[in-house]
Amino acid sequence: MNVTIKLFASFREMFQKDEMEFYVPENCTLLELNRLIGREYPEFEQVPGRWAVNLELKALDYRLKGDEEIAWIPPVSGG
Amino acid sequence: MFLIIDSPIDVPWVLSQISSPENGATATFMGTVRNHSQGKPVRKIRYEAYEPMALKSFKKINLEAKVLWKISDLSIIHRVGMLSIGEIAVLVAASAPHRAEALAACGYAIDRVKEISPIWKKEFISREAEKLVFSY
Repeated sequence: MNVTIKLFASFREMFQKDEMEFYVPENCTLLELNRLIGREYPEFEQVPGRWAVNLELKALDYRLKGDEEIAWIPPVSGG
Repeated sequence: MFLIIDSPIDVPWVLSQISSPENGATATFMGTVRNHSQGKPVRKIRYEAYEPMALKSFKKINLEAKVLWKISDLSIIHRVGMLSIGEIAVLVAASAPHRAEALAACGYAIDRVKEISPIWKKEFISREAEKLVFSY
């Protein structure tokens, strides 16, 4: 299945776009997604970040269904 | 009131919206763009937010604060886009019948915004290069 990943801050600059489409196996976990992206883009794993699914931070064992809003959240620096 | 906006924050207007006869105190915090960061001169800052998640985080902070203190309103407004030195990047306002609760909730809320809200800043230094001082 294809998933769309929203990118922000350093990741948006790294990939030069706001969103990234990625093909993943059905029921892929976020940990597997990390590894798949890291395999294609080694620089992805060099900046720490966390996954947000449907606007909530999720642990790496979360399994994607394919219809969620997925975002990669780099360390925040608002305020 | 919870907002992410790309225009200047109208502080008197926000405060007028949350005033109520039952309140004896409104505590505010304004985060402004500073002209230096870790020893380097800063010329401007660009803020960006994951807006729906940031707004959700503001509402979560509001619920947390209302569990902890007897306050009547908590407003969090964060600006995005390019800001110059001295401009207000964030406004937190907590109103309550008494000052201790308003002050405590206001301090708590800005700490939580900095901790959990998906908002990022990029600091620009030299006019020529506009290069990044530090990573986000």
